[in-house]
Amino acid sequence: MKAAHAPARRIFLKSTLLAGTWVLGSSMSSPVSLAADVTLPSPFDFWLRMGSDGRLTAFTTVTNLGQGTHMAIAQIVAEELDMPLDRISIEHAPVVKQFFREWPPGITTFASAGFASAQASIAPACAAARDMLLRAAATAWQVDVASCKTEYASVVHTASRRSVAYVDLLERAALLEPPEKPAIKSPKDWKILGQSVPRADIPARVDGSAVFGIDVQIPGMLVAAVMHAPRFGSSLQAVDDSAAMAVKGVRKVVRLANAVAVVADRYWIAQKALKLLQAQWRDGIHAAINSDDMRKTLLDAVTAGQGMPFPRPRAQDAVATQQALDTARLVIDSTFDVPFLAHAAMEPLNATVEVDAQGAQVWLSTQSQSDTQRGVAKVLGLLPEQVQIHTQHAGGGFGRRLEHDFVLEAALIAKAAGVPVKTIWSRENDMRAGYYRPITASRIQLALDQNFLPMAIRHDTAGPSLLDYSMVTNGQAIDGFDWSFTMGWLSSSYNLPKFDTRWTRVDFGVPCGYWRSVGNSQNCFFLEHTLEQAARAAGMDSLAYRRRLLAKNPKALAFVDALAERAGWNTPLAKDHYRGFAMNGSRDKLFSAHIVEIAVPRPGQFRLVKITAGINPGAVANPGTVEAQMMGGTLFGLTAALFGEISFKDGQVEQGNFDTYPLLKLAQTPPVDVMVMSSADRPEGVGEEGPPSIAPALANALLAASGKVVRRLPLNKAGWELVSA
Amino acid sequence: MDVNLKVNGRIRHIKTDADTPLLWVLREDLGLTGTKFGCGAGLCGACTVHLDGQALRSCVMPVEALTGRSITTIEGLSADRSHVLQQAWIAHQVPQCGYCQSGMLMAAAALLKTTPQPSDQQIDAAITNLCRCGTYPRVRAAIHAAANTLKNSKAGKKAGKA
Repeated sequence: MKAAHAPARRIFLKSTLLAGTWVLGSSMSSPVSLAADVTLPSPFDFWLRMGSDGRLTAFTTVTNLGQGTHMAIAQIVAEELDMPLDRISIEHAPVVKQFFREWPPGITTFASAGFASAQASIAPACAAARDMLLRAAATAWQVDVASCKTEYASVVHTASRRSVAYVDLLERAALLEPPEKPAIKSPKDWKILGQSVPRADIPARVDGSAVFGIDVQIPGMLVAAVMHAPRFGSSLQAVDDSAAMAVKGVRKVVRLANAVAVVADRYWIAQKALKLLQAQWRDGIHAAINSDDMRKTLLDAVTAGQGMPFPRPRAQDAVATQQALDTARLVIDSTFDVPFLAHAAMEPLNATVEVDAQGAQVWLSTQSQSDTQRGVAKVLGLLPEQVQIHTQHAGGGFGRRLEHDFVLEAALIAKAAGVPVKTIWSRENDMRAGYYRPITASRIQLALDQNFLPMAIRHDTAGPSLLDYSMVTNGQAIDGFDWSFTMGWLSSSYNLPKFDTRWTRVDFGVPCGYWRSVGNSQNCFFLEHTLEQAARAAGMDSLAYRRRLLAKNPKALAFVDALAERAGWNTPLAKDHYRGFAMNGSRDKLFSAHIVEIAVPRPGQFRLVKITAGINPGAVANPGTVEAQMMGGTLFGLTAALFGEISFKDGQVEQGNFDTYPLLKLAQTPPVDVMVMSSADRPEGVGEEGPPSIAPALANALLAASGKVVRRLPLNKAGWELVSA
Repeated sequence: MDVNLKVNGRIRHIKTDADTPLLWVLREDLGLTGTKFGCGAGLCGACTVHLDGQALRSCVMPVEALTGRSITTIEGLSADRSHVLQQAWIAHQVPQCGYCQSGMLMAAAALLKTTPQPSDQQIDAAITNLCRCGTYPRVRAAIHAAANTLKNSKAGKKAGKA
């Protein structure tokens, strides 16, 4: 997810001593003034606290979703401050305005921005702290600060062999003026960053002790199960709850606009009582949607080509594009479509809420603390400051925990119950509640010149807008144009020519949202499967063709060459084996790609032999976690490519559980080799690089095998069956 | 109804509806929240525990059928994360979000009991738990590593005896 980034700003620091504890806050936003009695410096997006026990706690706005960013942050602190990792704790910043950032907005974890954005403020803050500690010691010793160094949480004066622990310098250091431009270490000098340090949060994830949102226990708490309207846009008309209320252990039935909840002593009791409710629903205007009709509507729209042009003149040249299409040696003209996709995080959505006279408390796993706080306040008639958010471990997010629809529901249920209530969605609730990756169709017309190189691209795309539905504070549509439909095209690492991009907004009343990698999840497939056809038309090897499109991008070329070497691209293939390549690069800053080897024993059947994935995101804090993110993202995208689909019949979602929305299993997972490259460049995000290029790499291998273009995903709807060995 | 269960070596008395799945008794009555709810239909394996040493999906097992039986949850796999699989899981940095990993570990532990040196095919057949983060390659590697540790420690013991 690469939306507009805030421009680079100078960093502002404020230092204070509070009851023997040194607090150093950093802000990217604006200068701050700190009153002596204010315990929370404001507005700080990062905050260090070093106590008299010598431990350092760093507060961050990045949520620990299991992606390992907190470990990378600890590595930054350890590196810049020359401290051992075991004396560093990383904690979630309290959800208060003082910590709200400009980007990502408020306290939100998305856009793979966690590490890069955190590093921008944390590294200088820690470097500043180190500088202040050095100066504090040098002043005390009356020596030149340049003759001192830091190591293992101490300042050392080599010449006199004197050494003082940080903990004994806190009071002096805290009173010094922070440096204006603290010097951070260059990646070439890294000792702790750049290492695959084990994650500190892993042990609690192998013995059942990590507390996820669903595990929260509050004294006096009840549990709620929920029945949702069977169709989007439907509302509750009436409900007979007499049978449900008669169940022992049921405390209350709560009626909401589009749901009914049973509050009970135990979840199983609530679930059983839910089945006894007789609810009547009033349908909305989209009650009759069917997937076949939706596909046809979108395919018709891209064929008609009457969508709105992308309103950014620099990226839009309709005249030149038409001229190119008219004069091209060849036009590759392909139409594709992809379905709605659910996030299906393993921890079903849930939230525990307590509402009392002072306000509300919310315990949950979320990626979206500040928007959740605001939304809960609004629905309960409170001020945001009256809503306390307690962030728990999250059993996956992938974009679904950016939305807070389930929290609003839990808040209303708890308010009605008058006691703390944990509302737990069933898997079916979770699967059918929307905020899906939008269903999309695209027609790509790629004009090729005499050398089969791209002259222009006409891209007609159609689908619902996630910006119409998502509850996340993020960049708005550009003059009405949902920018997510351009993701992956306009920032491609390839030297792509003029564009004419047109989007037809088609609303089916189905809530759409951010799904790991967002628009890249479909656009990389459209782009790379089109380029593969161009390579074939040129009679060129897939990689040789793409190297021509990367001729002016030496970093990208080096990356692609290294991946090809790693995957043995030029080695002979066994009989019936084929390879496919695809890449999801972002200019000359971030590269990710896949090479997939398949076997095709019979027409229409394929076996996955091996996946080689590669990433170069610039500076890498922890290669082990980057490998894990790339590996996991690859399999996330592979699940979607193979069989991911949310479909509708008579207005209802057809899938409900993992029998109808299957996830890839271990037995279906081929060997995945991940190449993690790094450079000294500014770090870019890695969490969303796995999904985009796996589907087109696989489709390109299938094209090589069969000569047939893959027109739609998932592959099991495109005439391809995955078989095992 | 009243149910007596042996959970992690302790006899526990619970009053609950007879049809309550074991999962919810563990989580809500006994406070053993390491066992997770994922699907409620025996499809994902997040709720896997051991029943008399064998892997069981606790979300679809009514507790009434279990009176007098012995159950082990992730909290009882070891007291101190010392189980060979837990050690391998840490060494291979298997978990991402970790939500499915209790079930994954319990399924793997049941496999190693009957098949101490599993082949890839045996791992494929036994580990049908779902993981959305995509940890499968590290799961496989960690199971093989744990099996190797077991083999070497046995070999070591034999060598010691000789």
